[in-house]
Amino acid sequence: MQQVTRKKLGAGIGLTCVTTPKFKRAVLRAALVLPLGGPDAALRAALPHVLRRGTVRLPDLRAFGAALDEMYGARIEAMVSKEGDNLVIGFLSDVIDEKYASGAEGLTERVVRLLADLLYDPYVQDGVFSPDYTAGERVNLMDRIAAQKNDPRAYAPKRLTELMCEGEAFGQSVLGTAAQAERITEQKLFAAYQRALSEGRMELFYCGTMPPDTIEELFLKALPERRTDNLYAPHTEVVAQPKNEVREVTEELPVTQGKLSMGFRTGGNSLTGGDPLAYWMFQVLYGGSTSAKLFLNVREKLSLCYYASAQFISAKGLMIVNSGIENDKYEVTKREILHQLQLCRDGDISADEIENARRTLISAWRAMLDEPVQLERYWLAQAIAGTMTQPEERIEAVQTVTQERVIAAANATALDTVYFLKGVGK
Amino acid sequence: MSKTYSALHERMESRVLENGLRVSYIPKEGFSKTFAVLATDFGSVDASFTLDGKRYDTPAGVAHFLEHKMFEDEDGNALQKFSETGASPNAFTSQTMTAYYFSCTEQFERNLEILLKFVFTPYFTEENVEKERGIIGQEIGMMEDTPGWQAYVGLFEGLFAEHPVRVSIAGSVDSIAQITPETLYTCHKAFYSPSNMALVVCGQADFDAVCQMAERLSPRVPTVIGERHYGKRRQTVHQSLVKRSMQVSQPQFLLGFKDDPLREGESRLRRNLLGELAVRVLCGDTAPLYSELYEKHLINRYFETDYAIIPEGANVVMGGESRDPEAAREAIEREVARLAREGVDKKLFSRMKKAVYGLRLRVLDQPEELTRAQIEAVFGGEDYLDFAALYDTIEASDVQHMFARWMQPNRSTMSVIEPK
Repeated sequence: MQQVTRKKLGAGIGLTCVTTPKFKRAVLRAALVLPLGGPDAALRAALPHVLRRGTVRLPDLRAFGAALDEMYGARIEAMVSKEGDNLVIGFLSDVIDEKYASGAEGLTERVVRLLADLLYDPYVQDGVFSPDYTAGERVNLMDRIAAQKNDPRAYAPKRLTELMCEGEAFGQSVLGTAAQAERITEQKLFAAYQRALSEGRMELFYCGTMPPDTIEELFLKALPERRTDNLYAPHTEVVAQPKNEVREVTEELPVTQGKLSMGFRTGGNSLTGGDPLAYWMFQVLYGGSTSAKLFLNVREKLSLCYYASAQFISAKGLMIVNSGIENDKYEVTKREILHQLQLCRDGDISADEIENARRTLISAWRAMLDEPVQLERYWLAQAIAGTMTQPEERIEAVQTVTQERVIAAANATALDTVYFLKGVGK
Repeated sequence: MSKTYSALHERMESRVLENGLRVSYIPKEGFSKTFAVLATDFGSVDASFTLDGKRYDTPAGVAHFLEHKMFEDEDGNALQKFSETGASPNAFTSQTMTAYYFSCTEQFERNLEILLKFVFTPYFTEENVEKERGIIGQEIGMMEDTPGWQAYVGLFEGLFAEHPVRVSIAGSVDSIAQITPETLYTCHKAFYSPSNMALVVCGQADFDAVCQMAERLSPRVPTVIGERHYGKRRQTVHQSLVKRSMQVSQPQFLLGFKDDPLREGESRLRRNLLGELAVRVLCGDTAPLYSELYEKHLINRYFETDYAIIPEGANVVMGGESRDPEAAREAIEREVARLAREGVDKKLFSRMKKAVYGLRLRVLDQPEELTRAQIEAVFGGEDYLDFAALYDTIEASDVQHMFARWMQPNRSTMSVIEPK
């Protein structure tokens, strides 16, 4: 098993270390976990980008860029993402492992230091963020919010989630709203920054060759001592069943192809409840591989689309089916997607389909062990959910999932909302 | 042959089989996953060729259509055969190659057998070609709605007057309507000869067993490879500006400079490294110009750069979203001119060189990217892991010469997607 250590470094600071000699690079993360949505949403989305503009030691992009180049092209990117009903903002970094280049000693320490500086030692003017940096990133954030429809394939499931989870934190965009973004000032942003620092749970991550004790020391040395008594406790509301009748929403966009997104509740099956392993098996055989029912029927047999696939959002307990289709194929595609689900519910699943799904999952989880960036995501989800399940333990446990459990997972699935983004471009 | 790269802590084994198939293996200690790619030196640009004395001008999108159809065999679809072992298969067609690959964590040899069999066994019928037209038609529809892709297609329309790289890789709904089983058989015959192909494995495998299986499952004798036609070459661009309008919230742009094709005997790998370094010096995300453009809102963090070599051509591409693409272009061209004239600051060059080396080193952890890089290198008669040695030979003056070529008159094209 991969060596994974979890440590508490102080009030609300957790460090996860994956120690492995496999990689020539190290991946690090320093991020804050906060509630999703709310009045600070746009401020929080802008925050890592404003911080990334400069620190006291490296006050602008030029200085920052030069420092990264000198560190063998280390990358440090702002992250703003969603994990269940929680928002994660901070920085993700990758850097070569010290032993693969001459003169690279101390590289990891420099990255840790830089991450700490980005969070705690930003470039300020008159006690708040630079008006220039704030104005620049306010415009960038507004552009991002406006750009969401540029990629219809990504926009459809996003819009579906908003509609389906109206009134739940998960339905909120990580970017906040355009109206919020417009009102960002350096004073408001600095106040939101201070609130985020005192309320946010800090999640640190390292994957690389160095021993966990060394990494712990580096972070302890770089981070200021933290005293806080109003810490956010991450949580996610899993809604087991649709609250209402199935809702169908169609919206138009001047593009060629229509995008169909169908949202399902999973009967409480999620990372923290129900039978997630059986649910993964169901999702894979229903729409998660090239031998899945959706691929074989909606694409290969009926030629309705290039893609029709199901994703299981385990942190929240949702399943979403996405497809790109001709605009007049909406009804027939929707019918076929539901028909294939009904077959699963009725137990029309062969032993081969079960075994293929099991092997596909095992293979994907094993392959994840080779991918530091995927490991970062995996352990972030575990840290937020308060669990410590190793990928290898999942692999072991999925061996015993039976056909009955998979059928039960299919039967727990209930359609909540259908979203159709109709192309009216031609 | 076995080569050790001690500075990189890597090792590679390679062999050319009697039928000309080039096989390489890069072991990855401790990795769970093994990745294998079988690729042919045949991409969307190879649509016109002469075979057995006859000239063929095939419909646009044929290489990509062939890629889709190869998975189907008389006894079913290879995609499903792979999933019996939990492997994940896929394929892609680029301007210059078609590659089929899988990754797996068990039963590697069984998966390799499936890969070799389906790629070397064409099986096309009127019916299965017709069915694929519907699926690819939807794929084309999806690409037509992707602004970044449309900007890319527009750029090549501007850069080249005749070269087939002007045409979108998957073709159009109209062009693929003309594809028949016969077209596909002809292309397979012309370019899926083992001597036009390479097999690269990365992860955990037995190299001798890989070679033996490849020998057993590929044609014994190579066939003649089609002779390709790329049209009349020009040093200058076809159009300086190409515009389209689409559903976008702000303009997107790609600016490209046409570089000289590889000289006879020039290392493709070295040229690629040089191009990557040059564009990073010019406007990579740590370059002074990048900061300036970013601060002026002429670009944002979705700005990207790339250097690419195609048959009888080469080009550098940069772009992203911009409030004012014209102003971005002007600033970039001004900087190219300055760098061509004054050369690159020594300190800047040395730190950029360090950074590109670090970025390349990180690719070694990523079997997908590493195998793709090795395939490209093999098609150029090289081995990717030699990059470190080649990289050492690059000097600031090489970069300056490259800028000087980009700065010659009529060497740049900008493709813009404007909001509807």
